[in-house]
Amino acid sequence: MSEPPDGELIRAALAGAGEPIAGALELRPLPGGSSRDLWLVAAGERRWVLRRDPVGERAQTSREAEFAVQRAAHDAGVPVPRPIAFGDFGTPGMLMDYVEGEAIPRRVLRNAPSGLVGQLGVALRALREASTAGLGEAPGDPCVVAIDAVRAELDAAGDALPALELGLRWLTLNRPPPAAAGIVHGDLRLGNFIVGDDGLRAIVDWEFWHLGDPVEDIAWLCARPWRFGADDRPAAGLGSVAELLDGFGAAVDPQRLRWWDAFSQLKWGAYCARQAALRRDGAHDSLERTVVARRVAEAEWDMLELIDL
Amino acid sequence: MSGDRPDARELIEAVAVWLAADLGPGLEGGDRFEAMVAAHGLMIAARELELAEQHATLDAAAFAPLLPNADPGGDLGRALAEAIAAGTFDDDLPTVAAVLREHIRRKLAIARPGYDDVAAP
Repeated sequence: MSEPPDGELIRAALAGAGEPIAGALELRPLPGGSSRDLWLVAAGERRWVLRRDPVGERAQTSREAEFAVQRAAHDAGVPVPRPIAFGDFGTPGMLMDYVEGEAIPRRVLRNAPSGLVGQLGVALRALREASTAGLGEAPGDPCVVAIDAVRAELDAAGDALPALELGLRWLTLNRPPPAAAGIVHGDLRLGNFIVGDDGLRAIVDWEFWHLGDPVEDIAWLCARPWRFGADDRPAAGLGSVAELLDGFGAAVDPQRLRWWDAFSQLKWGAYCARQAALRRDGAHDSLERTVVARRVAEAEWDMLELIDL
Repeated sequence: MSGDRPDARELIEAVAVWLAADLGPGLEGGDRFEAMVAAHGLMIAARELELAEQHATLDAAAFAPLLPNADPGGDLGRALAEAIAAGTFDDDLPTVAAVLREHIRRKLAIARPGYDDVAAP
């Protein structure tokens, strides 16, 4: 468990945001597998979440930028925890409303409310309609940015993976026309949304957000590795792609979706390959990450099936 | 061949089975999950000990015809990866894809037997 944040910093931030608390403030660490440091903040009946960079870590992504995108998404009606304040809480972090519900994939799958996939589609619709003002410069061609990022991951991993190279070559040669850029969550899958009896309550963990092609999020959500075995329910192991697209409410070119489906496998495969290299470099000693590296062959298989040459 | 039994593969399998069937079920939550991951990792290692050599031979035989200029005793997988990335096969990706599909089947026989049996959308 990491050292707790200073309660006075939290009290000051809440007061500054117009939500002062008079009495005692309770802090409890929140488990849940996020790479960020999560704390439940309680005062009486009221609850918030503090999400900050782990102490001692040089963060790869910006919490300030994450605050900005979460605010933009919230303003656009995307179900997200209401962001309250960004600041220095020992490390950079943000305060947001606490959202009650279930996020653990196996539990969500056991009790998934019907219509959840449609709600995810509607959330993605709100996201694609959200204003990108103040969120930085949009890339000219999101596909090129994506390809370059995977190329860098593969080079950093250093292994010879001819099947992934084939996939990368196909992606390079078959790019769809550049889409108008919108907000992309970047890691939308079971585990990153909070569900209740009433359905989708909040999409969380916006760490990997970027401006790009919204179809990227649709493809990632439907990728085989996080269907938890439910290949007959390709949308997050919960339902059909048609249900998802119905909620999304805009025509999606099947070739564009297929491109991002293939890209998702390539990104996942490159991630797997990278874990082995990171262990060799001493960057981690996680058993799970070490063994997951051998799933690269699954990504290669699924990618070849998708591009179907 | 001439070593004592259980050999490396049998030892690894024995530890894997013990983790999955004896130690794991008695653990809770995250520890149980990690024990299963450990068993899974060991079984990959065991299958690799059994299959790696014949796969290397099959891969070399499959890749060599695609790489007429490569040193046949060298790292053909790397040579193939580099040739693909350089655009050498851009006009005939399906031929390379067919060869690589069988190569991936071999990898899956080690890393996740049966993964290629299921037809996924």
